[in-house]
Amino acid sequence: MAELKKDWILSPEAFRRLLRWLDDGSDSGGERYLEMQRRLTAYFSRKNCLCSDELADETLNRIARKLDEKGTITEVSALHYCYIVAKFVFLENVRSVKPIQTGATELRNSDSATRRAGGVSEIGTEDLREKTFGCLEKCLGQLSANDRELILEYYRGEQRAKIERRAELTTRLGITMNALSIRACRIRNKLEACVDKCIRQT
Amino acid sequence: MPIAEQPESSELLTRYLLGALSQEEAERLDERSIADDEFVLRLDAVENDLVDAFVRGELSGESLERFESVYLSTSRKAEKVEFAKAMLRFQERSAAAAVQQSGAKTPSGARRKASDDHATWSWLAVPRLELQWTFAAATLLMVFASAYLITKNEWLGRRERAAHEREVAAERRATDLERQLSDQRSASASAQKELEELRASVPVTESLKTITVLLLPPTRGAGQIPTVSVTPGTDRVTLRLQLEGDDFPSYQVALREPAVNRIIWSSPRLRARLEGQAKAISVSLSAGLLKQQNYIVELTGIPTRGSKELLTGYVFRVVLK
Repeated sequence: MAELKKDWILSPEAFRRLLRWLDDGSDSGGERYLEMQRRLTAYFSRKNCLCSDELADETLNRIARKLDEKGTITEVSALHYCYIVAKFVFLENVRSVKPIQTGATELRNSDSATRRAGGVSEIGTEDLREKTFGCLEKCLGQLSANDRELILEYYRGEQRAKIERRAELTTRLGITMNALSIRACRIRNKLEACVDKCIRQT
Repeated sequence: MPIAEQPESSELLTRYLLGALSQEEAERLDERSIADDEFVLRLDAVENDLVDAFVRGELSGESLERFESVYLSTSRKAEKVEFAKAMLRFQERSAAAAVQQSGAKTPSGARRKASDDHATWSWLAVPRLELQWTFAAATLLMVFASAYLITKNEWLGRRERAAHEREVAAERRATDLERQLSDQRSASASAQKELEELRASVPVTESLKTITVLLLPPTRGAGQIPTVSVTPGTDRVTLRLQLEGDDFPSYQVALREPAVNRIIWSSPRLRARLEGQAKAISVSLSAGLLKQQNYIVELTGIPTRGSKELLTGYVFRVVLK
C-alpha cells in the first residue's frame, strides 16, 4: 500500500467522503457504513481478534485517509477494497511486536473451563441476562406485528420441528425457503442491534 | 465451477464459523463475508441457527467443543449467545402461557375441576384453623385468577389490534394491486397502440432480432441452469426476471461474469411490472456483450430511504450457435 500521512485525523469532510464512496451513488443515510462496520467487526472476531471493534474502525479510517489523499478509489469495488484493507490490518496486527491480541488462548484458559462446568448459564451475569431479556421484550414490541410473528415462528422449536415449521411458513407466505431465511435473518439482525443499543443505554 | 455460482452448504458455513476449514478455504470465505451481500446474509442465517442450537443443547462432540473453544472466544459472540438465550426464554414463556390457556379445556382440567368441587363442600367439615387457611388460599387464588384474566385480556387486545393491522395492510395491498393492474392495463393498451404504429412505420427487414428468456427466482439446491442460445444475427437479449415479492419501489439489475467476478453491465433504476400472476423486471442487453459461459444476474432492491439491498442472483448459461 502507498505510504500515507502519519499525522492524519479523520475530519467531518473525510468521513462524509467515505460515506458517499460506500453508498456508491445512493444515499443510505449512513446505513451502508454501519453495515460495513458490522461485517468488519465480525471478520476480525472470526479471526479471534479481541479488539475487533477497534480493528474495524482502523480499517475504515485507513480507507477514509486513502480517499482523502487520492480523491477516489476505482481499481476495485468498494466492498472488495474494504476486504483488502481489512486483511492488511489483520496481518499487521498478527505480526506487530505488541499485538492488539489474537488470542483465543487466554479466554480459553479463563472462561472455557467455567463455561464447561456451568454450561451456557455461566457466560453472562444474572444482571446482564435480565437486561437482555427486558430489552428483547421492548424491541419485539417495536417490530411490526408481521415481523414479530415471523421471527418468533421461524426460530421456535427444536431441530426437526423447527424445519417442519419453516416449511409451513414458506407455504403460508408463498415464498421460497431461501427468501424466508433471508427475511428472518434481516429481522433478527435488526432485533439484535436494537437489543444491543438498549443494553448500552440502560 | 466459479465460486459465486453454487451457494455454499450450511455444513460448510458452520465449519467456517467453527474455524474447522483449511486456511485457503477460510480466506476465500473471509473475502465473501465482507464483499458479497448475499453470502453475508446466508452466513448470518447459519450463524443464528448455530448459536440457537448451542443454547438449546443440540450441539455435541467436536461441534460443541469447537463452539466453546473457538467460536466463544470473543465477547461479541457471547453477546449473541445471550441474545439467543433471551429469545429462547421468551418463546418458552409464550408457549407456557398458551398451555395454561388451553389447560382448562383438557380432560385433566376437568378432573381438577371435579376435585375442586369436592373441596368446595368438604371445607364445612374441617377444623377452624384449616378453614382460615382455606379462605386465605382461596383469596390468593382469586388474586392470581384476576391477574391472569387482566393479562389475558391485554394479550387478547394486542392480538386483536395486530389482526386489525394485518387486515388494514391486506386491504391497502389489495387496493394497490388493483391500481397497479389498472395502470398495467392502460399501459399495455397504449404500448400495443405504439407497437402497431411502429410496425406500420418500420419495414420488417430492419427490425431488431431479439431473444427473450424468463428467469425464475433461484431456489435452494442444485437445479437446471437456464440456457440462452444466441444465434448469429441476434441483436438483443431480453431477460425477464420473475420476482418472489415486490418489496421495493425500484430495482437495479447487474450482470456479473462469475469467472472473473466482475460486473459487466448494470441497468438504471427499474420498476417491477405485473406479468401474469407474478411481478417481473425486464432488461434488454446487447447480444454482443455475451460470451459462451455462465452469468449471474444480480437483482438489487432500492428503497425510498436507506441503503440498497442485494436480493438475489439468477444464473444462466449462454451458448453461442
